[in-house]
Amino acid sequence: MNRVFVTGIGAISAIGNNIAEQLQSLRKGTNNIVSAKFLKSAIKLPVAEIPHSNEELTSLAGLPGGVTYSRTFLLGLIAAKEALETAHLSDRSDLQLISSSTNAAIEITENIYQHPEEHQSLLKYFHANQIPLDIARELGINGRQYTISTACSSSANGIMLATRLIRSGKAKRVLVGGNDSLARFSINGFNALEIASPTGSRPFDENRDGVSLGEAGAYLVLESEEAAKGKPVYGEVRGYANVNEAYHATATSPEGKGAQQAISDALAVAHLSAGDISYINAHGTGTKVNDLSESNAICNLFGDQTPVSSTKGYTGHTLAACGALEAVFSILAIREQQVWGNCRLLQPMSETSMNIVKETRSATVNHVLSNSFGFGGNDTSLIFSKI
Amino acid sequence: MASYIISSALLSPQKTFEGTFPEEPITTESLYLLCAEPDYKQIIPPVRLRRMSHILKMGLATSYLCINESKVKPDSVIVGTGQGCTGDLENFMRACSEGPEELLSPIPFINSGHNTLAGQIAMASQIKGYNMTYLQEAASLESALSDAMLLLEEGTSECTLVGAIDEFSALSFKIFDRDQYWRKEAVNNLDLLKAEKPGAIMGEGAGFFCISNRPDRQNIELVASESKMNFGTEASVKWVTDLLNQYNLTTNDIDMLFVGRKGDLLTDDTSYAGIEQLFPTATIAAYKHLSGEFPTVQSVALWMAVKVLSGQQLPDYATLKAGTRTAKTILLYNNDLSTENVIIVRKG
Repeated sequence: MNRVFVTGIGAISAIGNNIAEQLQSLRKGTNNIVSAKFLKSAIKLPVAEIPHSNEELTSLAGLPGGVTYSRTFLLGLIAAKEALETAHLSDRSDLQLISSSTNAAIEITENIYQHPEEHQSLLKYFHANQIPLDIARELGINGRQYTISTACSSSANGIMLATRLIRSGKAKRVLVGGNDSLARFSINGFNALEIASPTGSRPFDENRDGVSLGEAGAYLVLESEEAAKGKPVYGEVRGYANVNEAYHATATSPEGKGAQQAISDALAVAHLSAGDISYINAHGTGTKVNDLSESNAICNLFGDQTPVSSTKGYTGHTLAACGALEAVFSILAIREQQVWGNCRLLQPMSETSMNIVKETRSATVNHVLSNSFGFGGNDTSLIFSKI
Repeated sequence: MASYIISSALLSPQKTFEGTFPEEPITTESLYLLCAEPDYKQIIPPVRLRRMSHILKMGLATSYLCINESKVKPDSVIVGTGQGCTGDLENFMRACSEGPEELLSPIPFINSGHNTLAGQIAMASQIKGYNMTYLQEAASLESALSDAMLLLEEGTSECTLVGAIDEFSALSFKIFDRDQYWRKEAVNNLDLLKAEKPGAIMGEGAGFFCISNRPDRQNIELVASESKMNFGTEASVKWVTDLLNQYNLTTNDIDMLFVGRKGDLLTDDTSYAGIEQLFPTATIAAYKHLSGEFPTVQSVALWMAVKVLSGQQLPDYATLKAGTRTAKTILLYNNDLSTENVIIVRKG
């Protein structure tokens, strides 16, 4: 069985245009959940928006101006380029691509579907797989391509698939990640479900009142041990699991049965026990239901010692991108030997004895567990390890 | 380790839900074909049916049929859907635009999640293992099948339910009607493959398959499920030939070829003639005149191939060219201009 190494990382989110900027923000703990500047919606809720116009993002992505691109595509391309650069991958002939977004380029299609004839050059974005194909074309990727759509666990599932493909010898190297831009569609969806936060998301806080949406692109380059020979390696993907709770369409069971199963299965794949985990990057969306059930699952398996935080207080909930974004933060925790603060936490929730990391601090980090849970009962856990 | 197809079910515009090739195909003069739907009330418990969109009904009903036919209960679910839950996605998109935004029902939003079907199947049949959804147009079924094969190889699963589904969408029909993608005038579907005019007719369907690590009596092996992005840089014929090599097969091994001819004057020959010539003695079968065109349409061909390998005769109405050999190894090839896809199945 091939070992799977992380050799490249790239990300853009509300807390920075690249890895270096995001690292700085993770250390400083500034508030990024504010009123939207670019998102057009009657729903005025605080969000973690990337503070750049599409024109600025086009330039950041290194594309010529004067053309309208999907914001989701731009976020993906910016992150994917950084991941390939950090992995020093110039030969992309055998590179495979796994990508995710919640609803393709919904931020485009929701604005043009009424008068499609006036937007000929944008109609391609109605194709569900247009963004991955455009990213592949832009980066010269010719290997097999997969697109996963499992709501908020999408790109975590992408990392799981990439790992399985490399372990089994079906891929040598994979560019894997996700991209999602803020859209009227998604903010309305969370608002209609009554799980959007009116005050700004506070994961694991006693007074948490819901999700704040964010936007991001995040990609990793995973390579087999052999393909990564002689390269700097950020860490290893040791464990993974996906299960279905089969409980409810949008909510989790109060005991967190699905989460507990995913975490236990991931530990088994990694041949690790709960005590080996140095830090948990939780899904922690800031809703009453998720945070309680996830903390129940974590307390049942880990007790009250293992440091836990949700980084969604920094970045908002970036939906299909959050699995990959938080994988990048998990890898950075290993590289920097730091655990990230649970930004925006005021008063830890009383129902849990979980050891919540209040502020970013130094720590010995050998193995990181990262959780991502999606609607439809979709629970995924990943384990990243220091080499 | 080998993978075996131990049950299959297909909901399509033809009467395929009964499990055998219909004697006569349904014919109609139309721009699109809709599924010959069963009475869902007989299949899906009313409490579930109430809030279900069209695609969820199609998928859940077909999944029940496939699971019932399987000797082994699946432990995992993988769905491939080309365009996803478009009906409720459009409904919610419309509701957001028309507003008022503050007063929207969350039901179409929940049902617009593309993995809703896989989640509903897990809940309805209490399948708590691996649960995945691929959303990548014409390569969705092939990604789902190859993931299932990998799950079996790893020993993570003993039997995985794989579904392929797309629903008719008036918006997609309107939006994609550029570049002469669809026919402009209604055509009798049985005349479609004469390919006298540009464009295809749209369709919809749900195909489900239980893939197991152990064969049943029929012994139908799923050999390969491959896809490739098609940027027009590499010849299709070379790709298919290389794939055959990779699976230790030669062109002579292929007894039957399913092609994705859709009746399009502009692309049918460029997409398929080269591949057909690669297998000069094979039977050539077609299906898009029966189902219409949709991203996961190769599931229709896969269901037909499974029926042929189970001993049913390929109907004349699906035969483009009759070969002389009994079909033991069947290759499915579809080319939608953005991706090319190959599935190989054989009698073990």
